[in-house]
Amino acid sequence: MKKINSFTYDVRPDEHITIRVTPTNFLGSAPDVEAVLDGQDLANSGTQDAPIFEFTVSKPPGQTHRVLMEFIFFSDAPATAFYETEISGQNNEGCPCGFIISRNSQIKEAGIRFRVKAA
Amino acid sequence: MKSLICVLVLLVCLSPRPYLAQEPAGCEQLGARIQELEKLDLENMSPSMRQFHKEALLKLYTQFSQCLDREIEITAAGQKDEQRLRKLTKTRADIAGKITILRTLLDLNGEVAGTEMRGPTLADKRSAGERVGNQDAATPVKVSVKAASNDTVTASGETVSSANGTARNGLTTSTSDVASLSAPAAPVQSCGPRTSYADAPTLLKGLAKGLATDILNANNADIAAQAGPQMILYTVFDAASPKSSELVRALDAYEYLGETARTDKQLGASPQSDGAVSSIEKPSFAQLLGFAVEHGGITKKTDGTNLTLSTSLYSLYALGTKDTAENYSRAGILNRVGVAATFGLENKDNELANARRNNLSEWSAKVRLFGDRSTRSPGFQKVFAEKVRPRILDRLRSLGRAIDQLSRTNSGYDTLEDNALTTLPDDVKSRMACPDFTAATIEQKQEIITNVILGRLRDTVYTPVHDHKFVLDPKEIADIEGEFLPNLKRSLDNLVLADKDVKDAIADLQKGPLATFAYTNHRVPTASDYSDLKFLFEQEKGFMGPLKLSANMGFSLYNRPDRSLNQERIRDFSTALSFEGSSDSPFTEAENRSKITYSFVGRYQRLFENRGISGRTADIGTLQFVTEVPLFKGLSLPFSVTYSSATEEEKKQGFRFNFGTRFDMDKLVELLRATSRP
Repeated sequence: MKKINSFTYDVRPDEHITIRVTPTNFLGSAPDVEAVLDGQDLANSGTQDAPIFEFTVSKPPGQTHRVLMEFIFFSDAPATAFYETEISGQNNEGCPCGFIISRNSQIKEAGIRFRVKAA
Repeated sequence: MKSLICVLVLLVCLSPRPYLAQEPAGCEQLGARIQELEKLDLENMSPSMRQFHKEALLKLYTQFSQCLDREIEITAAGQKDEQRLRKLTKTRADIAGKITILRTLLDLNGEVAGTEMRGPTLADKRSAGERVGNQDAATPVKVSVKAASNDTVTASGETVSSANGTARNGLTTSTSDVASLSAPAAPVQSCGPRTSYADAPTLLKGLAKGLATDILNANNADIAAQAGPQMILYTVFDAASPKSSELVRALDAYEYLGETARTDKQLGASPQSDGAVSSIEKPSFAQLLGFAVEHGGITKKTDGTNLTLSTSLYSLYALGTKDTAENYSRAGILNRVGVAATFGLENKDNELANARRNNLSEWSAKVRLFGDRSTRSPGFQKVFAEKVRPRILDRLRSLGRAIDQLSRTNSGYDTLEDNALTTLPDDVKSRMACPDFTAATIEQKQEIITNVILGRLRDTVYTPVHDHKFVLDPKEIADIEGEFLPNLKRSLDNLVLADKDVKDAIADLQKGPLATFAYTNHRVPTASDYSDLKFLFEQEKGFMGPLKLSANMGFSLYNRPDRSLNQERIRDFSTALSFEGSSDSPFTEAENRSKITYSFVGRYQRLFENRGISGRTADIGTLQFVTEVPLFKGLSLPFSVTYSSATEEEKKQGFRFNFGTRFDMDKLVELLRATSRP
């Protein structure tokens, strides 16, 4: 996987992609992250406190996978709460890869693009 | 020999090492490697070695800059260390300057000086050089971009890379060969006027404005592409047909779940402290634990008379590790226990200077026995899973399916998206380096960045779609009008209901039973110190209907009873009962849901040392009415009237009045955030 910017990556066919989210400074407030891959629900294979979203690149070269995510902050979340998102594949280039969404962020959703390139 | 050493050092510096993502050590390692390279003696190097040295430094500077970006973002998000943030920002600025110098020396600056951008790498440059003469090589071609009639500014003379060496922008056709072309990313523009998209749909404008604010707050231009696929889709909707434009313009800006009012805030000082208004103690102080706990371990509160420092065992535990949600879950009972200390406020210029032994008036510990009012409680999670999560996912699915279907049926869609998004962060970054931007106010900066994002969308998405350079077939337009937009509208409408469900569920959380055991050690300079042990209970949904019931029961012990003052080990027994209600305030802003609160409190205390002493009585009763009226901008007026049958020192009944003003900075911040939301 090669980082183009924090929200755009070039990936190879059959590459396994992992999006690991670390909710931080939430204290007693529940974290929650929802994700959709190409319009289909992307299940959280981790826990609510440490969400992990995984998929394997299945589109042919030239096409793009898109993961849309929304990060939830309930009203009891401290002002310092944030989600740290780490994206990894195989042979990562240009990483650390990922981004941060904080309680104070105006935009609490993300659209991550994975452009499939020929191996 | 020296050249050989230089080569070895360069190789060591450039060799890949295990990179510790998220660890500050990662940046430090890069910094150390840069220092190693900077120390090398250039005079003893051959010209080719010097060139190699510069390239190596540039590579490391770029990696270091990216690493610092991330560190700055983490530090800014945590709001935990301003000094570190300043240091990181300064280091990053220094590195950006070095990058600019090296890029200039290496002739890599096709962009604005003074910015670190994702320009061509040396490898790119070399390979481009090697491709000279190759018919298929990507060659920059000057073309004119025809602006839409309502554009206020045009970006004429824009440079567009063209595959196949022809002056097309890759958006003119939707035939299958387009998808196989490499994305002709839109070029990075420098300072100066941009294409305007001032009439963008509200939904899109809200997104761009929000991203602009986040870019400024985090000092990270990458955020411009954060909701890229969504922005492209909204722009396509706006340009596809008059009907789709009308439909997308009818949608309001999306609001994320959240609220401003927190009515459960109360200082940690017990009712006996000077300055305390209420004579009943609540089992919860601010949120879940009874002790407000913020990252960094200790929370400071002042009420003009007292300084209260509070913390929890969990926050102390978290100081030694990272305060992640996972660690919180593992901490078990530690997140049920809180401690606080209250100091008399003498020095108001330096409040923390009052935190010394002589000023300590009391310290306390609380343990939550049962009841959970957090969003982690099973009751709230059930409501969220059943009513809210499906609606959040529905919106994401509506967007995701529309994008995926357009991407599958129209082979030019991915290219359209690439052209708009791939270099958008670089475009924003270069604009942020312009002199007029650096001199602008925060509001002006926000507007400039918003316009850069919207202008890019206008140039690379709206105009090609609107002018049919990017062709949507009738079936695709029918899908947009008849399926994608109605689905999106339905999901957004449902989310309004979801927001209400969340607020109702959170309000219900505050109404459940909550029981706490509290220990308070009172330090009395002119008398004997004593300790309170109390059971505290609170329930809103009870037999008193809309009124909230709070009850305290406990006793206190002298630490060292003074027999000459008729003191025994047991100081007193006390119990208190309170009924509290609330009503809407006509004085607050629309975003402020703070209510007028009122309570009736009865308290009985039997003070054993007063038995048999003339002029005193052992039985002391108190009745109290307390109210607090919220006004505006976090300001409120608390007022209380108290009738006592006696005091601890005197058998004399009478009334006491307390009134004043209270200013809640947290609430003000929440209100400002709510009003600035796009």
